[in-house]
Amino acid sequence: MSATPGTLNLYFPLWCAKFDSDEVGILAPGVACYVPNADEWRTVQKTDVWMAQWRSGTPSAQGPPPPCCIVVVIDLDRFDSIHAAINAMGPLMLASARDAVTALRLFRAGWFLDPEQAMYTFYAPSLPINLLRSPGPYRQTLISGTDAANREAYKLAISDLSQDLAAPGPITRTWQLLADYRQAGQSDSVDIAIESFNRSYGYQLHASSRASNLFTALDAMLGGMSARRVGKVKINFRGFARRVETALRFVESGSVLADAHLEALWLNAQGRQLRNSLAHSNGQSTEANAAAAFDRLQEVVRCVLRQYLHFAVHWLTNREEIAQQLKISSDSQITAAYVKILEVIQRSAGELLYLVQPANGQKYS
Amino acid sequence: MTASIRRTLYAHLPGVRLDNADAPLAGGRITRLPFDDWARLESEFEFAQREYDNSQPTFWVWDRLTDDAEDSDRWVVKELTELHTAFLLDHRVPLLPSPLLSSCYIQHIPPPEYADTINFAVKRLIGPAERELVVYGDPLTYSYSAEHLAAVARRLQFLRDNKTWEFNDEISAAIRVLEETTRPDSWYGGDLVVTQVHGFVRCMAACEWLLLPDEVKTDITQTFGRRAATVINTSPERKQQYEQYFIELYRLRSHLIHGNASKIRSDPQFEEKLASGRVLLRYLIMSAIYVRNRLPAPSPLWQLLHDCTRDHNLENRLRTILADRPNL
Repeated sequence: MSATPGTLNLYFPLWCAKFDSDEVGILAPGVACYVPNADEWRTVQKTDVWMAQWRSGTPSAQGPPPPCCIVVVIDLDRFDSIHAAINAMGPLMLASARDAVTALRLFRAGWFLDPEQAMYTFYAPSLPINLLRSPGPYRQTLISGTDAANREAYKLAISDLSQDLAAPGPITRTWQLLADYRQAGQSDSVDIAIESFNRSYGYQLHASSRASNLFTALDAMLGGMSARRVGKVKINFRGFARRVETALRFVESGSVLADAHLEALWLNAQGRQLRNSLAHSNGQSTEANAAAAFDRLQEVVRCVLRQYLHFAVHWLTNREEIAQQLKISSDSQITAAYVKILEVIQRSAGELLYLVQPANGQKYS
Repeated sequence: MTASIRRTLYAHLPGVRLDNADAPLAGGRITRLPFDDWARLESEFEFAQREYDNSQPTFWVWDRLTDDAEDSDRWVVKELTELHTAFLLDHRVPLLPSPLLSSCYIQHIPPPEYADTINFAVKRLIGPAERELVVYGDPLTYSYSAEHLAAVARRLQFLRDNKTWEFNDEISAAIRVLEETTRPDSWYGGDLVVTQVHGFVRCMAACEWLLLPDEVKTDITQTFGRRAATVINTSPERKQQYEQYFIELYRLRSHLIHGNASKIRSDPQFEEKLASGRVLLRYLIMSAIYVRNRLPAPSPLWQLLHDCTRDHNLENRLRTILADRPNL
């Protein structure tokens, strides 16, 4: 596939991700995922860095192999200059591409270099000046490769994406969750949780820093591990493990977490210990413990965050009624409401379950 | 027998922009290295002079006499980490990425008697950003005058005198947060406001590590404000103002993290408050380092602050120590 005339395309290369197909998959309306052909990629990337990357790899007439890309496409409409088009539509396209990245990460574990940290490109094939590249600080990592990151590559399958939005694939459904949240209005708490989760993928962050980001996400969603109240809402300060267990018990299928009870116990004991040592030391043992716990911790956050997003959509659109059901004030913080709902469900799942679990047939993954 | 070898370290300092061409710094000098000098150390980007000249990269150049068996990577990491921390603890709390992410070069200059047999070899320590920040510049730059650089040198001496390199406690964890939040991984890309909020939340967590033990479960906001104001150590009237300000700052952190900040966002001082989290962290780190070794038994800052509530002698002692704290 190559870019169509009359369109503005934003390329977000997913360095280090593996894609099992030569076809194009749809991630969301106007957002595709595919590996560009060599000509298309040469146009999009070609720079001194492309040359250096070509020289450093196995020589090939077509240049270095293109990576799988998220490509956001929109009509150029009335614009006859790429700068004017980007000024008008670039921020929206960037937001769309960022949500696509978050959807991939929320759907499955695995690593790719954040496209904005490496390079992204706007391309409008029908305009005289048709390219605008935005290099990031780690663009030249492409020359020597990302092996040093020592992370398991993200494995994307064409079956994870959609061929037709009328029958959305699982990643599209995860993206829909984010879209619903944006539509419902936003919350700082949810934004911090998403941001911290995304920053936990940091290419050049130590495991201890990446784990700290995950604990920040947990704080945003669940309040402190020993908190007695969130805002004005009283909570059971010994109930952290049970709340996590309840949250994990009702996450959608598809999670690799083995057992909600065991995971909650682990987080409450070893997770808590790691959190404390992150706050009070900077030693090698903390780093080693953080590295050992990282994937498990990230999976817990991934599961709870999907659920938190689901809850946020309800809370932001119907907070008066939910607050009444929970017997809390409607100006309570979203974290307080979420923690409260977990406490209620823990006692009896009942009719409030829809707030933390999608209805049948609407699973996000 | 090992031979003495003079080594010259050229370390790129990402984001540092010099007001003047050259200045002494920490036993070496800080300079805008001309392209030709850089090209002699490099094997790549030989045609990138225009981009390099636009970027005006700053290098710290340091000569050192060593024996040839010394592990150069180790001393480079230590020296650059300390120097970088001294830059980060600037009053402006700049977002300067570590030199270890960019490019460093060690030029080996053998003594004259070996000059015919040993090459003037260059060891390249190329970090994950490779030459991007050298050739194409850093997205954020901070200007450094001679006074700024003199302050960096004083802070570096302060860090060395207090042996902070050997710390393994709340202070080192807090310095790690200060450093980690300067890495592009922590702030580059994404939504600007969300990124700022995230950085604020991380810095406030590190402030908490310095001020509060894990056991404090109630009255956290007030305790945080009171203790932060105690560390500022000012007149009683102003202390109350500071206390109130830090309480507000902690409350902002709580509102943001638990999702009830829509009103706060419209506060005209919202962005200034977000920046204050990092400023407070810098201040607490400097104070904690200073206090740590000036009491008979080194204790964490939060422990001292806690003990002060019951021991007025200690409180007075702490006040005296804080009053003597140098303004670095």
